Amino acid sequence: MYGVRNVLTLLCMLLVAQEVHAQRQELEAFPALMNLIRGEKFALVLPQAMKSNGIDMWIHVIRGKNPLNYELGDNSGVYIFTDRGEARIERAVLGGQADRELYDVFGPESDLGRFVADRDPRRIALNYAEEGSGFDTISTEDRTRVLEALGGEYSNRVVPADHLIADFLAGRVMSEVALYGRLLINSTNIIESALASIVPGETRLSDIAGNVFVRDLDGNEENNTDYVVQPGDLVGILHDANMREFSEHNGGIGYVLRQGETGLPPEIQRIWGHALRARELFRRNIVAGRTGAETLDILIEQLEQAGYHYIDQDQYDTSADPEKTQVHIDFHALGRMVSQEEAPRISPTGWGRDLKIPLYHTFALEYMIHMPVPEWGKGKHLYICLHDGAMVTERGVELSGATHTRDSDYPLAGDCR
Amino acid sequence: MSTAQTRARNPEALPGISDTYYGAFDDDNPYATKEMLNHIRREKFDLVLPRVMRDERVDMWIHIIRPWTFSGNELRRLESLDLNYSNIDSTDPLRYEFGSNAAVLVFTDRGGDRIERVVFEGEVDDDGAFDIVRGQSKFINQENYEIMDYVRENPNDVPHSEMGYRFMGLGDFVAERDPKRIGVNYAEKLSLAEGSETYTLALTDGISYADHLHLSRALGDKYAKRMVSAENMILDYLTSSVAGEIVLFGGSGLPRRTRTFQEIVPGVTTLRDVGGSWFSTREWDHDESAFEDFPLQHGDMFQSGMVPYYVLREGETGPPPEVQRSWDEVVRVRKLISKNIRVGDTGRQALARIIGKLEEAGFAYIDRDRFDPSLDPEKTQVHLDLHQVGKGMLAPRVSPMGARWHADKKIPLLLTLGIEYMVHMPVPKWGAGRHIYYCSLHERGVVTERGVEFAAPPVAGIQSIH
Repeated sequence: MYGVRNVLTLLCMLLVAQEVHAQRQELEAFPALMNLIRGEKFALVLPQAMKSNGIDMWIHVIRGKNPLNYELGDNSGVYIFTDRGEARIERAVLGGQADRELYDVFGPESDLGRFVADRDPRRIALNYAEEGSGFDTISTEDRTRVLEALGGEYSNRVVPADHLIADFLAGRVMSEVALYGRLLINSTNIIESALASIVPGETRLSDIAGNVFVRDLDGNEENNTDYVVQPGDLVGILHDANMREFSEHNGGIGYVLRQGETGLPPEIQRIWGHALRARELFRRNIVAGRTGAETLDILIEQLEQAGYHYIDQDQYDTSADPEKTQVHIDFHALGRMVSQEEAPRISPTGWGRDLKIPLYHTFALEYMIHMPVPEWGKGKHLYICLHDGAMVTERGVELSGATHTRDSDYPLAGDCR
Repeated sequence: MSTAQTRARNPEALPGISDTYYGAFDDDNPYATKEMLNHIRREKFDLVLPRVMRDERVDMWIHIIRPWTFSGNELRRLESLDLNYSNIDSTDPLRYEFGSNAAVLVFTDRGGDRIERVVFEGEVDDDGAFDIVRGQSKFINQENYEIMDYVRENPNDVPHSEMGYRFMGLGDFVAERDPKRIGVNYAEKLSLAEGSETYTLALTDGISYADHLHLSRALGDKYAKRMVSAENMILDYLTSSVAGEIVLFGGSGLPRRTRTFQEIVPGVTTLRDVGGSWFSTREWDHDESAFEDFPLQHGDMFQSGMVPYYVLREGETGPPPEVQRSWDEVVRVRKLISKNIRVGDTGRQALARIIGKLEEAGFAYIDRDRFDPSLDPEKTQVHLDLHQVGKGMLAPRVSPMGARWHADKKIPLLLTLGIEYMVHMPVPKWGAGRHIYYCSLHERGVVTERGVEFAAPPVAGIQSIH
């Protein structure tokens, strides 16, 4: 029996949460909600995404499955969006069927050349990419046909649409924000239930749903293996929650009390303190309008001014000052399943780091703390990974839902059995 | 499912105050949990509190929730649910924001990003949201022996009135922080009580005259002179939403399923029998009780909440063109409204802009929710009453109605706005003055830099009853 009063109190809370969760149904994709999100993205996000990419016509050819089926439509056809100087971007489908509430113009695919010439666009985005991207979706055959239809004058104006698509997908309307928050709460509840079910000495990481991991003091990781959770472990769990094409994943951390412990030991409290300090620093230094790469530079500078050592990989740097806690960052997008990586990203990796952070960007405040504990030996350190769903607003970074790691007074979950 | 069953399944996170349109956040909303509400409270402390205090040039805010404004009725009604919320049943406008039904709260701007948060006296739901929680004065309850002992032992240190026990030590606490301008929750102009949804639950205007006297004594002359009304700050704090509030606003009331009303027998069933709201096709005036005991007939249109229903005539497969056209008008009005409200507008400015746009688009604006038979019979008439929802307060308000200050209040970022408008579309072929009526009640709008967006789907169309 490892139980202590403060942990028992927390567990009671978790059990209540479980009970409430059991009453909840999985999120249902109501047609009205799906239509609302589609319509508002066209009305509010598309004009900005086209403008900021300097595009006045976007041609997107769909033949069956496509990352933009949800946003644009499931049917094959040539989808064309034209900025004609009005607040509303003209939406056309040639050679296909689509929702008449959303689209303005329909016609045969053979009209493509004339359609484009009539609108005389200066810069035409087409759904291909010049660098590795999941948005490189047009077939060679279709690309050839489109360029032929456009003719020499307009085909010379064609550019890749990958960045435009990334910006369009990354832009969030309020109904998406609300949905995102509900998904975050769902995954938080799942994580809290999972942590509450751990029995030290019996539960294996592979028994727990989600991405479950424990690192030892040298940084060696057990990840979803048959490793049995032990007292003194810091167990990390990432778990997703989905609704159709919408997805997010949240994180939680549990500390397993050792026999005789009546609370979190000082070094665990210390690493948690670093996590909170770093989070505040991030929240106050991320704003809409900068690229991910620019933001990362600012965060690194702020971290180092605050006495931390930034690491560009999620591995403890044995050559660094052993007095300094090390921090790794990977703030990737959340919300749409197809654009978690190919989206604005505050991270040392990925082409999304060159995209601007849009207003209402929904993303994972994902960072890793490696805190050296010199008294335990050279290179020995504690590790935690934080992963909270967040959003960029005019005020900075807000946490959309109550997260497992929300409170300074409930720093880390424990287990009493 | 009865209301009681629904509440037992998804207990309101803000029990007892849902009638003041808090339901916009927690109506049948499994996500409106105590944990989520605590989270919102903390986010507002972090993100909204510093701005509203600095905008009002206030460096200390003393907010007193008087213990005597708590009735206990709702607490008793809900005690079997074991909700254990201490803010149940208070009528203070910030009872949820601060999580209490009786407290003396002091917020001090001591520089830096964070405002110091102190529960000087009283109890709160969420201790962790505050830096100092001193707890309830043991002398709040006068019916105990401790106060007898105290008075006997400290005859020279007894407050002028028993009401003053809450403020014991407050003078020193304030002097130590030496604020230049102290906001206190009393109203001077805004009449917050009047501005609330008075026909459901009126909120308080703040502290009483007696409290003001005792507080002044406790602060001493030097600091009492620095007191100013916190009314604008309270309103600003209430109406500035954080992301977590948008999450609840969008999730409340879901799933909203339309009804089929298969139980209706034309010529027999009345609107009251099926719990409908009002007729859209029969009334001369908008009177929610008119005709509710008349049997429904083929060709009637009525609303149940925000959803319009049409009872098909024999041979009809959908609403006739004039009925369908009335819905097209509703959608046009909705779009026009959503494009013409801007952050930073006063309610009055937004109203003027929308009226102008409505008239440009061929509608006739009416300042009352009554069809005006003297107007052009070709023009659809529109009445507007958009207002803040979710906090029990109607301001900011885009409407010809209400107190002047409702319309003076500027629209803040991420305002949760009830998009309430009424459309009266004349149908001349039905006879002079005959028209189709639709009232939107409170579509869930959020005001962003892009205009009005919807946190949850507005009504999609007229439902046919076969």
